Amino acid sequence: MSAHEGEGPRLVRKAASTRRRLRLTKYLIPLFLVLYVVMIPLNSVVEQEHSEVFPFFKWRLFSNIPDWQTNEYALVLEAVDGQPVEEGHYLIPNTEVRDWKALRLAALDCVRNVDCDDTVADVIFPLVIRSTGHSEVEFSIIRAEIDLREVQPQVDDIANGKTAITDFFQSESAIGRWNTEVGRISAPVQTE
Amino acid sequence: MRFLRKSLLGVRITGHRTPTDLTRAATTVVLLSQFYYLLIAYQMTTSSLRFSRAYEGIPPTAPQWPLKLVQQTIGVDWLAHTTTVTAFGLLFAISAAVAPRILVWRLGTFLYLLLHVALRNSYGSINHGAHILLFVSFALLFLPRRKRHQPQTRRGVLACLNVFWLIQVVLLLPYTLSGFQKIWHGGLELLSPDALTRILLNRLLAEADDIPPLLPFVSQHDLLTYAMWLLTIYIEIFAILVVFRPHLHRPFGIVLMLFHITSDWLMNIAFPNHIVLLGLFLVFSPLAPARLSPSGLTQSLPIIGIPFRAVKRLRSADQHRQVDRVQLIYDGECPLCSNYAQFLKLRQSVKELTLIDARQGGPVVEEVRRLPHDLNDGMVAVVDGRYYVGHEALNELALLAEGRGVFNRINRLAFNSPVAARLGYPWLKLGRWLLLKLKGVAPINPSQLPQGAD
Repeated sequence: MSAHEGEGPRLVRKAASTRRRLRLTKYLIPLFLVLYVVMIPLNSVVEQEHSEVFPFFKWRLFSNIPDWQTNEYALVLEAVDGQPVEEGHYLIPNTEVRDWKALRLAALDCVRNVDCDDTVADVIFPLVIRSTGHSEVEFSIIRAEIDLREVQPQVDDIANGKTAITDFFQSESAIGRWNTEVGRISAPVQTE
Repeated sequence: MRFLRKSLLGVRITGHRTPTDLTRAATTVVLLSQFYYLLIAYQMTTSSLRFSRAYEGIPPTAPQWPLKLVQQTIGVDWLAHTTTVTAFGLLFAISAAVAPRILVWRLGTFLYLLLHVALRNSYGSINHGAHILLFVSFALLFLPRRKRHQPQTRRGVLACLNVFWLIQVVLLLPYTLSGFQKIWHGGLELLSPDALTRILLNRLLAEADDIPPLLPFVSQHDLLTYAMWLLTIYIEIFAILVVFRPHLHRPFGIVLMLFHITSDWLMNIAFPNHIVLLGLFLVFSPLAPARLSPSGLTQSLPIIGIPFRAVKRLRSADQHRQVDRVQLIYDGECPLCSNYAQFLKLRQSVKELTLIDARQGGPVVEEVRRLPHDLNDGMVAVVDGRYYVGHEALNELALLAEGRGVFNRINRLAFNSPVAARLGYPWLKLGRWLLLKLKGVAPINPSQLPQGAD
């Protein structure tokens, strides 16, 4: 049998496969567009465990415009290995943004009274132990008011380290106090 | 899809394309995919896509659905062998870069990325930095297969272009969604001159330990932040339209790259993968015009371009330009189309008019078929080598028609406005469809044309 004799059926099969793929790609774009847009409102319905259905992003990044007067959460160290630390020792927001995000999520859970102690134990305890290098740490999570108008002229000073964000905290209120070994040590404060 | 295909032929703002151009574009799409897989391989060897970056030393605490599937079928113990998994991923990515037409390599790379991105997001927090790689790899799965020295078939070219459009949609849709989310959640606040200032200062609270370099300067200049905010809203909302407007591919690609660089310097939010992909699939777009045309660019801009397009149309309607050759490809079985073609009389300045029945095939029909256009979507007019499709053909022929005779006068009056042609053409198409149904004639089947079916 010559090399070309088997070519016919193979070419027909190949042409059919290209045709099928072309037909498929023709419908992919409208399908993808519809699926992606539909998944935005469906995200919270379909997915319970995560905030969105993987890998469909909600794209709500910076869609909320904050007021000039806003809230900020902070983590204040109270004692390490049973020894009190100086007053106003803020662990967060003076660490990296990942810790800030974790604190915000935990604080919001506490404000809403949803699994507050569990979230703090799961997320904040390891973070505090890692940052301080000690296993027994007592800390408070607080909520403070901040007026962004006061921050605006001071951005240069914050960048140069002359001023700290915590210097702008007004009317602080405690959300709770915890110890990494014994758990919560103060009654939950009803914030909202 | 029809809009996308027409975007290539919309000569008023795009410039005309030959089948050879499109074949070249399809080859460039494959070349870009090779660069893409090289980028993936590079990231696997350096840091961000190494499997050890996704695996945190313990099984996933909040597994995403791909990880749950893996868990149910083969367990998750093997995830700890991060070096071996990375080696497999690297093998697939390098092979895909060398031979992108072979599906196995692309599929292997996609599965590696799916596992990597899913695992990275299975420990309670979500990071969207690598999602885009997953989507682009998914789109590239549909590249047609072709051996190295085989010529490109029409279907192969179209499949490559479809994949390229899908990648652009995948890249640009998130910006548009983000823009609409801002409108939805921001409401009238969106127009506030200090909206961006407030967002930046609020973000500063999270970045107190590492103030972005541009923030101290920008946050003090309200006018600058307002201009940046309005530009952001504009480019985000209309980003998806760029897919349909090849003149905007390169400029928008550059603007979006700058947008990401600025966000990094203002908010410490970096999307490096997006920057590289925008460069590959927008700045190096094979469908963008070879030279940047300021008039084409301004006319293509969403909203802003409307008055420029209107002025251009008015000017071209007034001009009696010299036309040597017009070829009209129509459906010979449709009485409406045949009568239109027979009664059409062009100005004396048009030297030659050729009527071609699409059902008879021939070299011109074959040429049109090689363009990304379905002959059932509308008639085609080739005016001095430039292709006009559907309502654009109707409008162009009305502009070239002579002012004598009842038919030609009505034709000229009715369709010399592009808006009227755009509104009227769907009704003519509906008429053709009804007449073909009444006659019991099937629509044009490209694979049964006398010449050149592939």
